[in-house]
Amino acid sequence: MTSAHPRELLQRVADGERAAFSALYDATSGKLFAVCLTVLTSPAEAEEALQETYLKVWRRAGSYDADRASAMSWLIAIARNAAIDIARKRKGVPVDLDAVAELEDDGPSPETAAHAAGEALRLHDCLGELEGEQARIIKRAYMGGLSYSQVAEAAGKPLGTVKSLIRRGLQKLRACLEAA
Amino acid sequence: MSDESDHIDLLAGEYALGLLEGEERADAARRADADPAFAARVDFWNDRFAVWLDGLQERPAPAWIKARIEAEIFGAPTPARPASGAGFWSSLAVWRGLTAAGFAAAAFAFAVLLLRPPEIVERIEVVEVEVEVPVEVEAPAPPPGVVLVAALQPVEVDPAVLAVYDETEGLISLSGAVGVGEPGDTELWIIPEGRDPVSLGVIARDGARSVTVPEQLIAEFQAGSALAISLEPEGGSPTGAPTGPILALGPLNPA
Repeated sequence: MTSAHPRELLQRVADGERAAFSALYDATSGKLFAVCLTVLTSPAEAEEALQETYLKVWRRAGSYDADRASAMSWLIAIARNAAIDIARKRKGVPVDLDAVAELEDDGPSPETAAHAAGEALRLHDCLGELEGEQARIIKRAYMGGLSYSQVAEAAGKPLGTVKSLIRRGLQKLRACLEAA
Repeated sequence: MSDESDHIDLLAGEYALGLLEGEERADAARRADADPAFAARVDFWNDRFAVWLDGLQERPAPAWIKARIEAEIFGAPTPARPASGAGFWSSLAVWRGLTAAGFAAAAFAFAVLLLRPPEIVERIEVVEVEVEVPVEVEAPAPPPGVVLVAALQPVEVDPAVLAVYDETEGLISLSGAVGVGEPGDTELWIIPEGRDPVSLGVIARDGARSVTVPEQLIAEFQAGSALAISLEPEGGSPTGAPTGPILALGPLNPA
């Protein structure tokens, strides 16, 4: 197996290189399957999401821009979106809010803090500047792939209240993240 | 930021978080494909939020998924869809040999795997087997001379492979060609219902050939199991599980 970086592999995948696609899958599928399983609790659905993810990676590798996001962030976003699309298609199955709550934590993991200090700590610090509830809700929405209405249900608040709470949070977050 | 760019940025953040629903979500997805400025803002948020998942522990995906994806992309042979046209997922279910009951059991075992320490896993798997294996298994050996047949459905151009398992001899006889012209070796697998494939070794691509079933696998040859042939590197799968595209596949049925 090659030890090439996912970014380099993605660029080769964009050129249609089959071996690079295989290597990229081997290097990243364990992580992306775990991502799918944060949104979808059913393994069968997560398997479907994972397949959809790599089909999209193959089709869209050419649109990846290394200046805008890390390769892993880009891949994770595709996996999350594939999982969310499958979750939303499934009607009448309420989201397991307890399971989502278990994913929450109070800060970056020691691993994250040690290896990705810059971005992770910055996000953590900026979230710290939000009201406690704003930060908690934004992170819960992300980790569970929740929609506005699911967040409102989970928080026991009106939809409009949740929307303005999150939008104000995002505005503050961006201002903080973009500050030098 | 102007009001307009502020609005775009908020929308990008909402989309990246997954908050939008229905048409709003579909619109944002289309816009991310078509509008580079919007896509850049979506990437901005995705790149920041993704650090929350940095510490997420990897979960190995089942080996057949990669084969299925590569078959889809590279036009390699894919498991045949059921004649009913029930579609992709139904054919996957066939491939895995899962009945509805077996599926529920597999999902349960997986859920337990996520939550329990490894030493429990063995016990859980045993429970699953106890649930699925018919009671008759405890009875004396089936009547001698039982013959099982699997028609391994193709692939795009290859003809089907016919496999006949003769219990009295513990022998699988294969006819029909598969994977001719492909690099590497073709490998035969038995897929017990609801479980991972087990190798029966590398086989010739065409002609009449036979495979002796190892004693420890004889119990797996029963209706509900399936046979599959995958394309592997020369010498067979290096991992013990199928790594290449599935060339042919079929359930075992009484002859």
